[in-house]
Amino acid sequence: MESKSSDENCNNPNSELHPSKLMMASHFLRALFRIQHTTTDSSFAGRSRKIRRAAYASMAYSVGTKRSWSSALLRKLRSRSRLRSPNPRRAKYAALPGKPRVARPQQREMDQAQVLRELVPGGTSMDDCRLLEETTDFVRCLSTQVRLMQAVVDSVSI
Amino acid sequence: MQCLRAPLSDLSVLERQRPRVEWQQQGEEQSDYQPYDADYCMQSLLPVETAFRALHSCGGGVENENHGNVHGSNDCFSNAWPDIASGMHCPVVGAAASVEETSVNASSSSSSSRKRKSENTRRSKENSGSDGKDDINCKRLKEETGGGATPEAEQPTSKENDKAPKSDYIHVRARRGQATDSHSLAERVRRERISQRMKYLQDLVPGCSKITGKAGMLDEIINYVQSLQRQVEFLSMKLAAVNPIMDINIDSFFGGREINPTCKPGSISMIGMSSELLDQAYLQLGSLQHDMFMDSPALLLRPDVNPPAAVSDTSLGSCLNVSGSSVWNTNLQNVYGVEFQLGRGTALPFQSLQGNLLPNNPKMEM
Repeated sequence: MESKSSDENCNNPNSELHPSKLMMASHFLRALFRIQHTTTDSSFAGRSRKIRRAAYASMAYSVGTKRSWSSALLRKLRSRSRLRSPNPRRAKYAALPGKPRVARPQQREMDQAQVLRELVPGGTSMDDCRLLEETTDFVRCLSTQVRLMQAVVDSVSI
Repeated sequence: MQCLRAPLSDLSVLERQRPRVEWQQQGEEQSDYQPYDADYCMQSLLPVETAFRALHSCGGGVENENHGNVHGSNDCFSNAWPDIASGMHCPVVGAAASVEETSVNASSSSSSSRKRKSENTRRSKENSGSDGKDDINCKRLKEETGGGATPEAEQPTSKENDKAPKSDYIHVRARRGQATDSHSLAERVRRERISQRMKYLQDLVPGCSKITGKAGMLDEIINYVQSLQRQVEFLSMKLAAVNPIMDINIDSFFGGREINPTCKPGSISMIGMSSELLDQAYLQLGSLQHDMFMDSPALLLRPDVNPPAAVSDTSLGSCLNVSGSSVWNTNLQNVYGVEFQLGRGTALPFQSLQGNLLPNNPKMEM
């Protein structure tokens, strides 16, 4: 099976920006500017947290609700934003993916599929087949987001 | 022996009857089927891709329509899944659709409902052969459907072909030497689907082509996802550490081609960041599909690689086409201003930016 990226290259030699990538980029950049502009007095950790949340938000918005991982991610983000001011303690239950946490000892013995379920948002209530599907899409979107952020960092820090 | 196997043979006979009738009825349709293969899936979706590209090249504003078609990713694989949902004519996709829809609802009690979630391409021929052997040596695995190559010689039960009731069940052909009870068939279907997904993932995750086996692959996938999430965090920290970037007038930059419905166009208007820096970011984004990270001077030369129509379609193009040299002069001044304000007062960034921009002026004004 030929790789999908090479398939794209054959078909789109001078490809324009894909609309969903464009949307992701625009959303992320807007959020970035908003964060930079408005929260100049907040701490460094707070800013980096907000930027990370903006990254995941732009990922989820660009995909929309077509994927279960994106819907789960959007739900998490919205619940976090709602719970933020009244009860900041409850917000930690809606942990964003990739949030650093203490490695629990029982995590070692967990099934690989279980580990993957915890990594992919919304993965806890999926069977294996669907989990792999969602993982594929999530990985692709995540790698796009990483490259977008890397591009922004590179362009800014010349 | 015969009577002991009678119940089983009844079941298997019943299974054989239905597909036989179906095969007879749908002979022509099956001739289009191909092996359950990703290649076929891609081939069948090529028309969709070409249509999408044709639409996209037609002119501006098409991106809004195409966004609905593309479902968040831009390659055949991800196109396959929404096509599954919409029930395209592609039999593979259609099979997967029935699989997706019914796998949730499939009750495990009756064998017939199990059969519902098999693939289309494995329509079993009427190949009953010997009397109720469990190994079902009589059944042959047929990857191609239709065709007249059914070994008709091994059908002593041809009289049963006529009295099979019509049904819309999809049947899985048991392979030679394998068990045929419904449990194992369903298991096999599930395993094959999982292996198909794993193949897709293998293409996606770099460095996985050598690894065979589910456990190793899953480890690699988990590592990759974790590394990506760590990278997101690291990059967000890096972005937070950068001095507050000067802002940009986002409205003019995007040129009103904003696709995201949730963005409020006029909400964020700020003082101008160097739009060149953002241009570089967008140009680097344009290279994402090619998975190349060229140097920024080379990247800035990309607009003349694209045909002008294509450039004008993107928001980047709308920025570039604003107006001739005056824009560039003001942008250059912005660049200098930004550099001053950013506090990076060294001459080196000036020179690098200057070196990048000046050669491109004549090109971009074309």
